[in-house]
Amino acid sequence: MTVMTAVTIRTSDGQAFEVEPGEIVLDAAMRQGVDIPYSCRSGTCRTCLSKVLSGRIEHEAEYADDLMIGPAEVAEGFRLLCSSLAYEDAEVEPGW
Amino acid sequence: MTTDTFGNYVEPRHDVEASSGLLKRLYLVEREQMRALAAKHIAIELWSAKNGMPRHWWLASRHADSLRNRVLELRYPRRDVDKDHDRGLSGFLGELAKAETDAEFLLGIYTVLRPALIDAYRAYLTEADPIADAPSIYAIEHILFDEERTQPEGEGFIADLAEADVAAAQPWVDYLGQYLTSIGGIAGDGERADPPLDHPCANRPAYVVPEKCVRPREFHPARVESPGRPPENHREQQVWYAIDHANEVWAAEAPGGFMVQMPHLPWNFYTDVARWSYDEMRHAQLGARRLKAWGFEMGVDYPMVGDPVDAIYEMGGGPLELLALLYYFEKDAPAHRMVTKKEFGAMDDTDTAIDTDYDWADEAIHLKYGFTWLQHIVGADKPDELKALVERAGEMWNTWLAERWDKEEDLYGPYMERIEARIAAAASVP
Repeated sequence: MTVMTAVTIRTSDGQAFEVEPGEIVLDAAMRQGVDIPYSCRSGTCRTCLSKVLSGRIEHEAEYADDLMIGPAEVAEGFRLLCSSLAYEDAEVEPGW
Repeated sequence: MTTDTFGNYVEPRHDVEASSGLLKRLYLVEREQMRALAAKHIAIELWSAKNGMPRHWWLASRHADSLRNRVLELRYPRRDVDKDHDRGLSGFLGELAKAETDAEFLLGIYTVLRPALIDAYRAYLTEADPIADAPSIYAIEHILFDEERTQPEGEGFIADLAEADVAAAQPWVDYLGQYLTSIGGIAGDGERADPPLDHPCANRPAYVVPEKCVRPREFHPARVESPGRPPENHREQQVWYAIDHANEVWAAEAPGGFMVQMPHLPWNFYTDVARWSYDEMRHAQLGARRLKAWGFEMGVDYPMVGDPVDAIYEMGGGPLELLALLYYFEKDAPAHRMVTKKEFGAMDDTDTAIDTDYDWADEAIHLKYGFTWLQHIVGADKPDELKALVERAGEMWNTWLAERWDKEEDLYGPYMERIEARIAAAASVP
């Protein structure tokens, strides 16, 4: 699915940032100075693991099988923001 | 002498079956050397060996992995690589960790096992066909390069031992030498005999990983590594951080123990653990290097302990909780390291800032290791159980630490005085 317009992500601690079409969510946060913990930026360390409280954020399909996140967590709404794209405005809660 | 149908002399050489069988033996030796070095690390008192052994077992893990892959390639896939080993060779290798003193263990590894192993590698290269078996030759040439560089380091550990301890260990050396000869050597191609079971050093009990990290007896007593109050200035912040780093020795010792405490996990677990523990030892060396540069003497001016290991075992936990505690510490570290790197950079301590940056990089790998293997043990479909395990391990640590301070069992008083004196002395230097 191609996202044609920027979407807005809000964090549970009150920060907000825009994500351009095709832009990785964590990259967008860093570009705008939003403080989300991260380390590897490749979906292995789980430092950026966050729960999507509303809206739609999905892992990049190409790498989804290599990410350090289990299917049960994905079903509960957790995402690794370093390896995710946003498809609509969303609210996220970093950490687990 | 053999000739072909043209009457040409034919060099005797191994076929695939013989080569893969020999490589499988070499793999077993590297694997068991890795396990013995890692599992005994927590029990070793000699500080040069405590410092140097992790690199040796990490290299052994890489050698074992390389040989294992080559065995799998020959008659691909040779699936018996992890089973049906020669019982004599397995028996001999199983004796190594039964050493009862530092001297026995180090002499067993560096004067009995490794010289024989190096000879076996050299013999393989002499006999291997340079075209037909070129991938094996490539692997062994690189392994030999490592072995020949690390062997003098091992001999250096032995040079640091007391002469009386070396002398007392000679019966053990004699026993291992007899045992190795009885199984036909590393390659198994020598004359065989019964193992020396009537030797005074035979029939010792299996090695059990101790529940306390051994430190040199000349170090002053201590229970916890971190000062009981937050740093009040930049210099204290540097020292506090370096003490914390220097004490990461426990994080090399604890996973080293997993090599024998968790013996039935997939092969990749052991290569991951070998790397993880080696990284932690390097982090400890980074902290010790900073403190030494500032004039602090290890174990005298600052404590060297294994307090997280003490905490887990004294709170009733075991190896699984230790693995979870390692992950607990790693889990929140990246966010902390991001801030720390900036702070040390801002106070012009670029050495610590760069040390922190590499530590941060290693932690990303460790987080993958921790999650992968906790998930493997607990179950991929049980994220809540995994989370609860990690939180329980963290609670064990935090409760234990708070109790040490509350009950004034930290033994930190003399250290605090020396730390503050060192910092004051440094502050008086223009």
